[in-house]
Amino acid sequence: MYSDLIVHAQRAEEMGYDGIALTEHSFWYDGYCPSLLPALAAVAQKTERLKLVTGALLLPQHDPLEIAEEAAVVDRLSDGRLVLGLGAGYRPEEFLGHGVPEGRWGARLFEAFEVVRLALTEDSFSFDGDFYHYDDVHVATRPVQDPLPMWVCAGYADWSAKGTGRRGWSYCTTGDLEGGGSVFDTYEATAVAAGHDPASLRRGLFRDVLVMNSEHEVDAIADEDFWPAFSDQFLGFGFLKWEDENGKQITQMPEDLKDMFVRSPRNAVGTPAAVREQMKAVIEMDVDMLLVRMGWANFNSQRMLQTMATFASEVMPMLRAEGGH
Amino acid sequence: MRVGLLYAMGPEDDYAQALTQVEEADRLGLDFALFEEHHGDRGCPAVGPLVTAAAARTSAIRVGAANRHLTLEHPVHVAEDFAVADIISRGRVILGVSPGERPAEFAAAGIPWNEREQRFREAVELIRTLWTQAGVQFVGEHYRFPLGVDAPAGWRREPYTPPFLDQWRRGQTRPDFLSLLPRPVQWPHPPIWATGWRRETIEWAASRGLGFMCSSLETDAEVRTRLGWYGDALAQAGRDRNEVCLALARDVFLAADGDEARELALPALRRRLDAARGEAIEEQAGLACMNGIDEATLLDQCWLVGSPAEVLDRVKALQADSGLTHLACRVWLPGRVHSDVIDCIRLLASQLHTRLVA
Repeated sequence: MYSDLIVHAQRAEEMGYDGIALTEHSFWYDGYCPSLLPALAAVAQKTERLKLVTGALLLPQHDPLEIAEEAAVVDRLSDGRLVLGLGAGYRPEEFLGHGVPEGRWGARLFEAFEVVRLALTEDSFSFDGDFYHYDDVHVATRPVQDPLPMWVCAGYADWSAKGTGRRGWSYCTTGDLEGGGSVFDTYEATAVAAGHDPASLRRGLFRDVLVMNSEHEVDAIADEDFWPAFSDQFLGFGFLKWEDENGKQITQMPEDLKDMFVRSPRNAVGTPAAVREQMKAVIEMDVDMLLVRMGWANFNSQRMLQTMATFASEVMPMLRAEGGH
Repeated sequence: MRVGLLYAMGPEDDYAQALTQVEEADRLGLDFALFEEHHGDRGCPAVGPLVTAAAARTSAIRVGAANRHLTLEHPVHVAEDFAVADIISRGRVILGVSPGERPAEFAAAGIPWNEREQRFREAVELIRTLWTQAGVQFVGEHYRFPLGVDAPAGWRREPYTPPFLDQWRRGQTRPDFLSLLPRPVQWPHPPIWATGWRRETIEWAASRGLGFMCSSLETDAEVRTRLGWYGDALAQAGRDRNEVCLALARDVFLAADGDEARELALPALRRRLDAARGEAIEEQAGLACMNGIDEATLLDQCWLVGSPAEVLDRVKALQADSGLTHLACRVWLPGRVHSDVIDCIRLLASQLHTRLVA
């Protein structure tokens, strides 16, 4: 899987993608990567141009000072290609497994984000928060980029849009429940109310994309790759207390929900023409960074490459022309 | 005896050059390359990415951390990072570990300095448990895995109650048992080498069957003393020297002509020693190096600088009477010219490695 990762990154670079993003989970059955920065350091050695994105590194489960130092090292190893996306995480197992008490994840994220930001922008810094305390700390090894791009990565929760906006930080989201851009409105309104220049705000969007040349192939990837992975993962997300009529935790995904999840408005699914149509809404959101997820760990590797190629040749030109980014 | 490279990459140093040198060492068949952690001006504060980067660029050489400071963050992260590195390198990782060296770093991380020895031991036990066991809990004085488990000290596996139900399908749970995933490629786990100056650290490492790496700041006589402590504790634990790795870190520089080697090596070595003396680390205070021994003595009893024949004699003597199995050579230092270092690595491989392996 990690050798696949390097091959996929190299192919993505050839196909004209701007970057590659990795997501993080721990204690997860399929070997989900718990160590994004070391993995990206390996990718950096085999690529030349690709931005290396953590999308997202679950910051409250780590020590923010260690992450700042590690990020500086990876930025130097990649000659300034790191993009640091930082999220809160939501699986109770992961917090407890890393010795972090449950609860107040959002508050922890914003504090830790500020610690990383200070560590990488100030020569020395002190910080006194609810969770983290530093007194005159100096990180000697500095990133190449000044400043290193940092994003808050989040779902659609109100606290994330508002908290990020209030601080004027860059915001990468899944979009609202319908996949729409209303979260960006909340983000921008909060930022402007807090006195930030709207032109300084950066918007990022996550989108799941399943694109194949024929409907037949789209069905195959949905049935054989997406649904098995999704149904295992959805149950394991941990934010869901989902009981059957006897009050027992549901341990199998109901089959009849398949269409609802595959064809969710938060995904772009279909032939190139259909996906282009669905991506028009994304263009309207005017995002600075679009992270498309075209495969998960247990997807068929060849098929993932095929999807990447189709998206690059059939959909990306439209995004480049009209999105401008 | 196995021979490898040792790197202390400071804030201004060129990572790409170092990785090119490691590639050359890989091509020439040297055995390992380790990176030193240092949260100041004399090393790299996060060695995990250097290890995976080196792994991605090489195919046979072992790669690893020289002295991962286990107590400065939660050890589960170290277990995860080096499991991923072991996978990326397909089973070539070495994890050198340290209880930590500087009180300021502990203050920054919010960890009490006087707990470092106990935390270090617990962290090693926790990492070994997570690397080798699935569905496990660990209860120590300082670390609990998962947080909140209420059970007697020690580690244990989850009892099986049918029907089988994956942990992740149980919904929103407060688990008592978890598996570290992914786990390393190597069985039972990647080699763990302890480092440190305190006698209790060294004896504990021996009693637990960990390898040990002696620091580059010790004279040959001090190395013999430390390896003696280690050997005695090993015997007391009923273990044999053929079970463990005994490594020595050394500042090394070779050139065909001994005088040329000294001329090329000494400026950087003087700067490094001055910086080490300036840091005044408590546990190094008693070392001869820190107490003003002169350069001639350092060249004679500590640094390995000279022609391959001169250096070979010194190492062979140490190998014979102290049972060293690994020599970690710090051939690169800030200020040295890349091409001189490459030349030195070639001599190391052709003139020294061949004779030390034999």
